[in-house]
Amino acid sequence: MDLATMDYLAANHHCWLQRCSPLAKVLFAAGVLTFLLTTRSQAFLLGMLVFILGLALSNRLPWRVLLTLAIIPLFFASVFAISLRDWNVGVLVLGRAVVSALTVAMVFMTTVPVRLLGLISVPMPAVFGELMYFTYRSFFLLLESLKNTLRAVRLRRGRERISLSRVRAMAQVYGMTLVRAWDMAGRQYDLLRLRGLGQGLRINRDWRLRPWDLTLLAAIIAIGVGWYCA
Amino acid sequence: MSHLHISDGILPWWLWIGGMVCTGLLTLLALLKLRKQRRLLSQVAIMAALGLAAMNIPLGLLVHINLSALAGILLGPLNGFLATFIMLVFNALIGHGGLTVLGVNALLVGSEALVAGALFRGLGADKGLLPRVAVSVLIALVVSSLLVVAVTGAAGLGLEALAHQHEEHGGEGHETVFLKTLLPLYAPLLAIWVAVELGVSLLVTAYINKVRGDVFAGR
Repeated sequence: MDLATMDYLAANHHCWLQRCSPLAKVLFAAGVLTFLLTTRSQAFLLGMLVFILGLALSNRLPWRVLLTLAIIPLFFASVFAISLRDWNVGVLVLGRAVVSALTVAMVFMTTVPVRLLGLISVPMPAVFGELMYFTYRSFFLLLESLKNTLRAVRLRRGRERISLSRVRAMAQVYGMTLVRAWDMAGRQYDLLRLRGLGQGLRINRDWRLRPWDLTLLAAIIAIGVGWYCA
Repeated sequence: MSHLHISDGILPWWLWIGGMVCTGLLTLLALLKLRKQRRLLSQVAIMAALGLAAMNIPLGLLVHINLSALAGILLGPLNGFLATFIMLVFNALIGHGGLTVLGVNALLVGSEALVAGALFRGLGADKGLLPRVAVSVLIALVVSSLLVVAVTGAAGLGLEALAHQHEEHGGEGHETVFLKTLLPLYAPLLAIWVAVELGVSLLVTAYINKVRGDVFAGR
């Protein structure tokens, strides 16, 4: 999992999915999830996997990122699949897990995060949207700091086997980052208050549909036909 | 971390919809409370961001910490739960845990924050910081793990029912062995996760208490 890489792609990658509206992409993902969760056909799941990979290929999304993303749901779903000892349902579980994870991740990778967070926070009170923005902003500041400090500790300690002192050093890095973060929270809050946080900060929600959305509409209709036939 | 990142399509519909309703209500309650204490907003967000950053740095094969129990101790049970929920929303967006099972995943991981936060406050300040943290985090992790077993058991029932339907349609017969097979697979991972999360939580607490004792003052 690498949120920073996906954020970079979401903001800088140019592809046709980027030209579709965030709303259409969210609706597309919801449609795909509905079809995935209600199917019992392995052929449909295989078709969906090929379709999603084709979507990634046509949008020139990096395979390395997609493969890394697929590993986590594959692993956790395989725990269930193996335990079931029924390969028919096991394949169903694996297929649903991997295809749904790739679909949602692809929407995230091709949508500017601010727009996506704006849509997600619609059903919740305004403070939820503020919390999401604040978390997202703080994440990148903390990740950099945490990674740098852990790297510095590793360089200083050299190639050392896992030991209690190493675990303690790592925990101290987390502690130090938490203390820094705690201090940072106050400063960030004051800074964002100046920019309107908590005083009616307007979240820019993009509801406009675009011509490229028609491709997603065509895709979801095709998927629906495939689901019906399977 | 004592949870599985359950993916979409594994849980029966009644379980993930029920999880979503419970998580929605808890989140709404936390948000309404937070609206009256806006200064805490930054701390909740920072804790969620730190948990997310910690999850981004693996400690070995599929083992990472999330600091949920610590979030419950530092922010209080409801705000800790909220921080965990925010963290899991971002995880779900990148395919790490399903979107439809976000509610159940939030209850499993968020229970660490709820239980640890409530216990830490309930134990009283006179017991000493580290013993309170140790007891709260350990019980929270055990509760969370038991919830995971319960949820996977329910998932197993749903999946076995699906398998039986398959059999009726001409599939091969099989024994109902879901939990019997899953528990031996899951138990060693669980033990490692609980030990790592407990150890790191204690060491982080000890460090923070040494350099910035005021963070825990009055909690």
